Amino acid sequence: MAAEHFDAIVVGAGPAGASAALVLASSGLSVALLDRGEFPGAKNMFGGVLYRHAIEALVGEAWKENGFPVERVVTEQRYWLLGPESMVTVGHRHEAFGREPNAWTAFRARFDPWFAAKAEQAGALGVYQTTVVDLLRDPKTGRVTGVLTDRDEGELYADVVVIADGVNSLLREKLGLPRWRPDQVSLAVKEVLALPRETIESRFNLEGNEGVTIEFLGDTSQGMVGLGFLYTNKESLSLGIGVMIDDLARHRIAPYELLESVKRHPMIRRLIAGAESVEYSAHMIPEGAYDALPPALAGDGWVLCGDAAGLVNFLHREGTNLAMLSGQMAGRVIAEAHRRGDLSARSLMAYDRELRASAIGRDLRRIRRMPSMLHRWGGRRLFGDLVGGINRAAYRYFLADGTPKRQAEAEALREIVRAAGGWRPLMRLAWDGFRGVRG
Amino acid sequence: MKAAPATTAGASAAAVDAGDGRPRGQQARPPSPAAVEKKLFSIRYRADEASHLSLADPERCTRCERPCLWFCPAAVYQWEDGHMRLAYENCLECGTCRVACPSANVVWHYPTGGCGIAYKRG
Ligand SMILES: Cc1cc2nc3c(=O)[nH]c(=O)nc-3n(C[C@H](O)[C@H](O)[C@H](O)COP(=O)(O)OP(=O)(O)OC[C@H]3O[C@@H](n4cnc5c(N)ncnc54)[C@H](O)[C@@H]3O)c2cc1C
Ligand code: SF4
Ligand code: SF4
Repeated sequence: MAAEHFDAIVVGAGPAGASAALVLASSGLSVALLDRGEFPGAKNMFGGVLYRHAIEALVGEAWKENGFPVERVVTEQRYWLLGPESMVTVGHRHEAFGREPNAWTAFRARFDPWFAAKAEQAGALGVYQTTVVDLLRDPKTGRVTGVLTDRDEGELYADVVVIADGVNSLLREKLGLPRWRPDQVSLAVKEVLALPRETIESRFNLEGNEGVTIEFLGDTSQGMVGLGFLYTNKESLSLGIGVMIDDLARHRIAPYELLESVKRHPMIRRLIAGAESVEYSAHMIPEGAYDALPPALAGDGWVLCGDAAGLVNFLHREGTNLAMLSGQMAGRVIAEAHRRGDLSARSLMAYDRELRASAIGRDLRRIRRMPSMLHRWGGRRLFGDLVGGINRAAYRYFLADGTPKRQAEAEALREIVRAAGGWRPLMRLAWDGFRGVRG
Repeated sequence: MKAAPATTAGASAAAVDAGDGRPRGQQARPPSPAAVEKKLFSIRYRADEASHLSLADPERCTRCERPCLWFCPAAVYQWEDGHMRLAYENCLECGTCRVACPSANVVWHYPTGGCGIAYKRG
């Protein structure tokens, strides 16, 4: 592989990298798509929801092909607030989601190879089982001129390097960007639990390939800031929980024991009863929103996409779509810069401006106060006390024990006020929460 | 939570208040790695010859509260006879220890291309 030169090198064949490679190759550029996995997706896990909008933006209606590797069409989304032995829930089911898919549940080790193959079909050269260990730079100007891989004579050169190596990005640190702080990332653990198809369909009230997603929070994160998920696949469930890493390090709770306690929760235990655990996995999630983005998403000879840049909307559990759309945007900017013959840092910065002005940038800016709000209030107050209080209030509200309704309602409200630590903190919390999602 | 066999790490960690309102010491003993062994069996690994993880200064671990004994999802960090042992073959390559080690003591590389974990589902 000595001294090979490409128009572009893409590091990472996840959704961000494969999208960038697809756009670049389709524009007629020579592209190498590198991944350290045995195949694209071998190293990747997620909760499990893929969005049609982003997939269609990249590969059109290829999702209608036979063998499109997804599990179920999401037709219902539920949110659960869990007390120790209770829950308060909201959800939405719509037949329209079945007619025109909005999202699917999926496995990354099956989706990513399919998606990367689309980039290869467009002309990108897939180079897998190859770890990039460093960036190559022009000694005089410092411009990134390629990558050093762990292969023999492993230098590869390119006009531009697309850095899409995921949340645990070692390359962004080679650019001089700081490592994530423990309060900017969470760790999630997940198990795939096998169950017969009919059991899943009857337990979740599903027909055919319909699917349900459940996001849950509360007692299950044991006083930490965290979110759990339970998704239906064809013949298995994906059950997991993610918690902020600073909380995890402080609380001294092993992630696998946390997951075991989630499995024992009475509202979850009955849904997974009899299931066989067929795969355990763990991964980080960037949770810093807008303020954790690097000062520039492009520079001299490089652009940064997907999780490596921190593009995750944790409020809506969206990441793969942001990764795909950022890769697409980077690919277009590079192709255009190539056409003009101007691949300077200034020219590549068009990607930075476009991304920040796009729906991705706007959504991440909107939730920019959420991370600090969550830290200020803390996992125990928000996810323990408050969610517990809401559950006690619901219990009081529904209990028919002869108490006059007016009094029962007042008692229910008091449960919530008490859980928040009084009226003033409750009003503050409502205000902070409102600003957290309003920007 | 199950009680794990007491170790030296458990003894020193017992002095640490987790700050979460739990009774002191309830979480103070590191979990037994056996708790995760069965889960790790479900994952396909292709072993690398050399460890992709090492410690910049093993001495630092003796003066540390050793949160890695808890937060690592694969129980790679094991405290044995006053030394930190790294069961790197079990690593899920999540990167948490890079971020969470309070003294940035973990020297972290990716395994050789193609080696390490290979999920079947993910
Ligand atoms: C538990 C969990 C639940 C989630 N749930 C959802 C969800 O339901 N919906 C959703 O849309 N998003 C979800 N996400 C987020 C989503 O998975 C990510 O945002 C998305 O995968 C980011 O894509 P990416 O291409 O940027 O990075 P990745 O998918 O991480 O891809 C990076 C690639 O780079 C490769 N790589 C890394 N370093 C190197 C190197 N040095 N050399 C060569 N190759 C390298 C890796 O092998 C990997 O294939 C979830 C994440 C987690 C962890
Ligand atoms: S947290 Fe870091 S310094 Fe402390 S024991 Fe673990 S590896 Fe050593
Ligand atoms: S990368 Fe993750 S699994 Fe591997 S040793 Fe670090 S914390 Fe443990």
